[in-house]
Amino acid sequence: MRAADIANALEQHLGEIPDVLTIVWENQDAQPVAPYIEVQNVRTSVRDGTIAGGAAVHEGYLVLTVVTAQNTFATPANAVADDLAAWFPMGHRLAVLGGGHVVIPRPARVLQGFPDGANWRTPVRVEYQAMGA
Amino acid sequence: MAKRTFAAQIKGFADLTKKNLEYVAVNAVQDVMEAAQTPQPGFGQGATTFEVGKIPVDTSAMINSLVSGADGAFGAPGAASYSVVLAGYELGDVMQFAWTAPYAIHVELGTSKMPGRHFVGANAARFSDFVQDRVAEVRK
Repeated sequence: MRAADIANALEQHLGEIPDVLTIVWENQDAQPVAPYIEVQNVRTSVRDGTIAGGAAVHEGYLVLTVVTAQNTFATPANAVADDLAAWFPMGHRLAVLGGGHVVIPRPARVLQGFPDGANWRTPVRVEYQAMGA
Repeated sequence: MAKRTFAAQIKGFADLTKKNLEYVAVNAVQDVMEAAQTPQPGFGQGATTFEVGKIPVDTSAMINSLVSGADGAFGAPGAASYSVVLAGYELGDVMQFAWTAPYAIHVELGTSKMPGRHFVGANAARFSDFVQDRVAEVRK
């Protein structure tokens, strides 16, 4: 299972949200006018509990940051963040190209927002595990 | 050879189990903290790339802003302040760690100008792996 295929499965699912805001994908140097969503994929570990190998489990988490203008009510940002978290419910499975699947092992969490220059950022943490078929 | 009573054997086993549990807890938390406090040059030091999971260091203010505590009592800040808390750890203690630099959250989660470094989140997510490694040590 390739890390690129795991990322594709997650990002494709994210892109399928109806009426989604503009998304700035990983490694895109773009700063659209707020509101928009930034994506970062944090790969944390690959482990295999078998002796023979071939059963690797890839773990990581997405940080989906809702970027809105500062000095506005946080409610719209929180609502988008809630929608993002709900789009990745616990137990949700996504097929991975080439075989295997990604599963969401625990509920996605909306983290505390914080200011960043002229913007307000509200991160959503979506944990995932990916494994062979 | 003196024989131990069954009760003494059970107590010995329980003491060893407690000792092993403390070993696993202290060392797995230490693994997380050491990984989180692993420095990498910040952009202010001329770095052009970065690694997720390591703390960037420009002036050392953030890495030295770590405060560590047990059960709500925090000690002085310092890059290795976690070692003091771990040295006094007993099963049941609640350990707490915080980076008090005001921009720590921006470095951790990113801004519009830079992606997050996740020196806390990425290493905390590895905690169960660290626990498994330490459990394997005490089983040998």
